Amino acid sequence: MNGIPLFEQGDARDALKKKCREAKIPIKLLEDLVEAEIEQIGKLRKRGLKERFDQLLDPNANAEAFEGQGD
Amino acid sequence: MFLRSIQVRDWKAYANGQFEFPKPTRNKNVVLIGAKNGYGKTSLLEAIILGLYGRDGMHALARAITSNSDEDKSYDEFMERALHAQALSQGRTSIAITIVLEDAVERLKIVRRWHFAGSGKHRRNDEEVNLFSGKDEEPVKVPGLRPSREDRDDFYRSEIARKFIPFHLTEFFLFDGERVQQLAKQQKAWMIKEGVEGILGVQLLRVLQNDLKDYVQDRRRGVENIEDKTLVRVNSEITEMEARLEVNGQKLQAFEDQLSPVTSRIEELTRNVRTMTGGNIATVQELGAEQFNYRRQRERVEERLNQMLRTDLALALAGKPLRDKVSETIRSEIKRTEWLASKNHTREKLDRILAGLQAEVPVIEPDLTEHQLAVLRQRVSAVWETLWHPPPADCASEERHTFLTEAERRRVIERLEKIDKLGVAELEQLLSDHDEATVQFNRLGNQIAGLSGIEERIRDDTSQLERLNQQTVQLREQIGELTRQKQSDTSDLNRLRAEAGRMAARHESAQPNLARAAKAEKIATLISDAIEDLYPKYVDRLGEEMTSVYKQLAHKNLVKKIEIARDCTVKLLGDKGHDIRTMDSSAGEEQIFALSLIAAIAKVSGTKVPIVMDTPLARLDTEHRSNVLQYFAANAGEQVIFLSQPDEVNGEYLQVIRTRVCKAYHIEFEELDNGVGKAHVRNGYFQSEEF
Repeated sequence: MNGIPLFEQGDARDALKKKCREAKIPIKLLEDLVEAEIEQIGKLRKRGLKERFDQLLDPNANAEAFEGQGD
Repeated sequence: MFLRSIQVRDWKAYANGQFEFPKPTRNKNVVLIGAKNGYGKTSLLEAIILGLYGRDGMHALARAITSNSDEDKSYDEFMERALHAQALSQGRTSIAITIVLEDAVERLKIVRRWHFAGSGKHRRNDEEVNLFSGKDEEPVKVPGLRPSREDRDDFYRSEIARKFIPFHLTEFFLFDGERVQQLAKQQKAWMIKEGVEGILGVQLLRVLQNDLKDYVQDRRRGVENIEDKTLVRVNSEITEMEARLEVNGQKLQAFEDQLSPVTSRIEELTRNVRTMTGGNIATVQELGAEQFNYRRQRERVEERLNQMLRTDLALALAGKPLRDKVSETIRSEIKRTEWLASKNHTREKLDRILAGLQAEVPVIEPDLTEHQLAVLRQRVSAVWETLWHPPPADCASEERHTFLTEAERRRVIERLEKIDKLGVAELEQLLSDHDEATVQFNRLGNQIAGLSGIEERIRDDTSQLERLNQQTVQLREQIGELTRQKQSDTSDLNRLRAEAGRMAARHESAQPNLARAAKAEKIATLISDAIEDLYPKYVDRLGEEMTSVYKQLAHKNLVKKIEIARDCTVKLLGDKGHDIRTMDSSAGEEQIFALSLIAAIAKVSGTKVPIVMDTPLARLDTEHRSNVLQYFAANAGEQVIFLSQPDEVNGEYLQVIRTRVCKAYHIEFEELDNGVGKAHVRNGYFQSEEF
């Protein structure tokens, strides 16, 4: 996961995937949220972040992503 | 990304300096830049930091730390000192630093300029930064129609942080070898923690977690109001109204159920009574009352007939000639009265005429005597009298009915004329009315006589009818009231349902927000769990890696294990498990500690950014120097830039990294007047070294 070494090393990604599966959260969604937050790094004003969250957290989105989420 | 080039203009000792760095490879990743003290090594490190981050990078500059608590002034002072000594005198009033970063797919050029007044005063608000992307160096466009300066700064800061590293992590990658040892101080654990968490992305995750929590609150805010207050109230009112309608509906049905048999019974009783009374539902009492009316009618006719017999009939029987004679006489008397009244009226005028005969003008010569005057009066009176004779032809010669007044005379005439009109028709009508009343009177008498046998039954039925009618009235009143209530309640219920529908629609439209909020909350929890689970493992790994690095760098074999706690306090454990950091350590040992930490962080995080070390070996002894150079050149970063003094990376130490050096520069210093000088960038490491 770009920008989050914590999730990339060793078996961390597998552990994260497991957590995502248990929570029924597509890992892609988490990655997109991280990316949205990375875009705000260093900014004094987080303009448009909530709207970006709206898009990413849309109830009709990500269903397929979750279904296709592998181990 | 690695540093492809850096160009400085009017930056400190550099009037103009250009450094080009080749793309690092697995075996050739070291850039060596040599300079004597004061020739511009640290200035170059500062140029890289400020070129990348502008004012944000100030915290990482050792020489920027002043006693001045006014950050603006401190920054101004630093920049004013940074302007090349000859710039102003040669008409240049700006500093420019251009840095090019590259990786396999991207190229980012950062151009930053600081402007100064002719007096050398820093024009802080005129600072410029521009980003260019790709080989064609297309300007990086700031999103938005009219981005403000703050928008531009935010965007560029974010771009550099994303593509390189955030400015708060600068000290772990771009650092002064002498200053880095501060990380070894126990009280600087927070710096380590910040660095570790920053490099691992934990800080970012915490920020994301907090932003998600804010988002959850924000998206739930308006929705809860609808759900918890108004909608609940309206739904409660609907339930209450539906219950009331149900109860009233049952009552209404019950009343209607009661009314139906009562109505049927009334119809039945009415039919019975009609049958018994021959189609007339009247009772004997009512029949008696009706008979009484007919009797009264007959009596009134008889009374009229008696009156006629007493008065009108006598006059009628007197005969018309006599009535006409009387009428004529009375009319002539009226005439006479009128005639006499007119005559008396003119007599007053005669008296005035007679009085006028004695008037002085016109003069009669000679004057009339009394006798003559009396004769004259008699003659005039006689003339006047002749005016009223004979009386009118229709005027009575005498008044026989002196007892009658004028009005009574006229009423007598009217009465006699009315008798003339009293004909057989009226008399016949009166007699007919009398007969009809008598017939009806007798009919009702017979009917009453006929009903006398079933009177009691009729009375019972009519009594029952009366009671049932009363009951019907009450039932209809109650049904009417309930029906009106039902209509009102139904109207209210429809209004409430419509209101609830609108709210439900609003609520439904808010559902996606609630769903998003729920998902965001779940993710925030997931992030928290993930940090809780994974971060300690990384810290443990960091400890293991730091142990490994430390053992490779340090020549003493005192440290067996390095433990890093969650708060990033570090323990260097000796053989017996004691923390040897509690003992005094040399500056060199502290530098080894800090470099081990930095190297471990870089390795564990897998971060691929250049490491720029200024005077990396300054406080290290010979054995440590080799170890540090060897380790950092081979392991620490994708690209390693050493800024070295001539006696620092040289000789045997240079040999340690020689094969990894891909580019070398050295900086020469040209002394100018008044103790100022100019740095020149030369290829090759000092005079003799070529790579």
